[in-house]
Amino acid sequence: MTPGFGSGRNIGHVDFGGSRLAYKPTFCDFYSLMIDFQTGMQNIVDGQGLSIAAAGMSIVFSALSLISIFIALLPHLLRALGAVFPEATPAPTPVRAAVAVPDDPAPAAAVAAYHAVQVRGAG
Amino acid sequence: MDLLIEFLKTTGFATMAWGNLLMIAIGLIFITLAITKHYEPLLLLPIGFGAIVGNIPTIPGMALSVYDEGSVLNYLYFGVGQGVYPPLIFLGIGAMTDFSAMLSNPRLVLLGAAAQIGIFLTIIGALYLGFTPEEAGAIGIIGGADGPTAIFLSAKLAPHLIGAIAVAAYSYMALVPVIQPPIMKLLTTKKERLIRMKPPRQVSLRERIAFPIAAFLIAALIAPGSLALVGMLMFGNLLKESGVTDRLAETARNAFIDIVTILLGFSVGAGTLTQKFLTPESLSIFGLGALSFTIATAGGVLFAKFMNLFLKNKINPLLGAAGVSAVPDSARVVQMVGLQEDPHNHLLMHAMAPNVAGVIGSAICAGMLWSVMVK
Repeated sequence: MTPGFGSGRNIGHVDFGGSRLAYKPTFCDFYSLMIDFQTGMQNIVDGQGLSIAAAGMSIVFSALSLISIFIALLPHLLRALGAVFPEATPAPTPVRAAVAVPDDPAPAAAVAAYHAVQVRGAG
Repeated sequence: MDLLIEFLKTTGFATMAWGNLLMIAIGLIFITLAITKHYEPLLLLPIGFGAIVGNIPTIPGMALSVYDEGSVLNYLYFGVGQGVYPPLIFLGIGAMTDFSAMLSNPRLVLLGAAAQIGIFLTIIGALYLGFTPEEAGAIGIIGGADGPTAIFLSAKLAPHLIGAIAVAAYSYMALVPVIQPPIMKLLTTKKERLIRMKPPRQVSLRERIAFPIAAFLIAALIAPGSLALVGMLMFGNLLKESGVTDRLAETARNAFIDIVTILLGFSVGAGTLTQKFLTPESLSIFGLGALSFTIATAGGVLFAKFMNLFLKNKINPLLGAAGVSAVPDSARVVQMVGLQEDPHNHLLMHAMAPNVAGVIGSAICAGMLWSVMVK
């Protein structure tokens, strides 16, 4: 058994071809004892961890790359589509004749007074 | 007198365990953080109060706690346990999200993919520590920095870990402003942090309407397991962008998401019953969650630097950190770190692109993991 890849049962010694050598228990060994888990690289192999990680990253990159390509092409697609189905232009709204507003300072003064009351408090 | 003694034996004071007290204290800390520090208050406050409610000792024979069949809390928890609430939350998020930043700069979508490395390296770490592949998948998704996605996948793969995973995911999301900046600064030079991005272009209405439909088709066809999450996200966005369902969009992004957030947060908190929650496995999940966030942030930043090797118009690598899909917190962190270097370099709009791409990416990862690990 290699130190650091222990099952927790052999803490305090390690077997190398029958000879027992003492070694310092690692965090993983204590961890295994603490929560009754078997830590080690073999778990990653058994759980196909590397395959899942490689496949997962490939899938997420493929999906988002496709979305990215679609977004990049979208303006061109819509331009081509626009030639066949032109975008409906909104009906022009009647414009009112501009009315000159007298430059009266009273409303502005009223707004400023209201604001001052709101900010400083009525009292 | 005997009746009184019998009654006193059933009170919470008599049956309270130290673990319950500890969880109640944690609930109080969450509430305090939400109120005083404004750390994800919409979630930490309901989770915190839920933790207090869920850790009051109950009377044997009475259906009171989350885990007692037929109790009120058990019915509320159904939405968590069966993964009902997360897609509903995604509907509201979709109705809130403006994808314009992403549509104007599609290259930034890839940063949302790169940050998902945190999920997969954490899965390897969890397997190493002895978790089963299903548990490892549910723990790894914490790196997606997306609470609803984490709850959804845990409900499907490892329902017994939902409490720990949800609390870890939301705690780290709340801590994004603390966790991310040191990693971002460590992995970038001052010159890189000063890179200015080109202003985003105007995106047409037709683009904004076509995007949710096409993105859903691409994501769901590649990873059908992501159908519920991506489907609801894009449906919500279509409600918003179509311009003809304003009432529905308004409801989805206000009252609807608020109701589901209340139910989700409270139920998750109430599910943190000490006997189910305070276990050594939960401590491992918190450790792996921190690792996951760190790797995800580093992955996004390093991939932005990698992209810069080939790009004429360089990307500010800080944007990579926003690939961690804590919306909009990680985008805000990018803005904050960018402003520290140059008070006139506003990166928030640009950071929203990898941020929302990260949401789609983590939902795809969840769908992929579910389909790979489902028995």
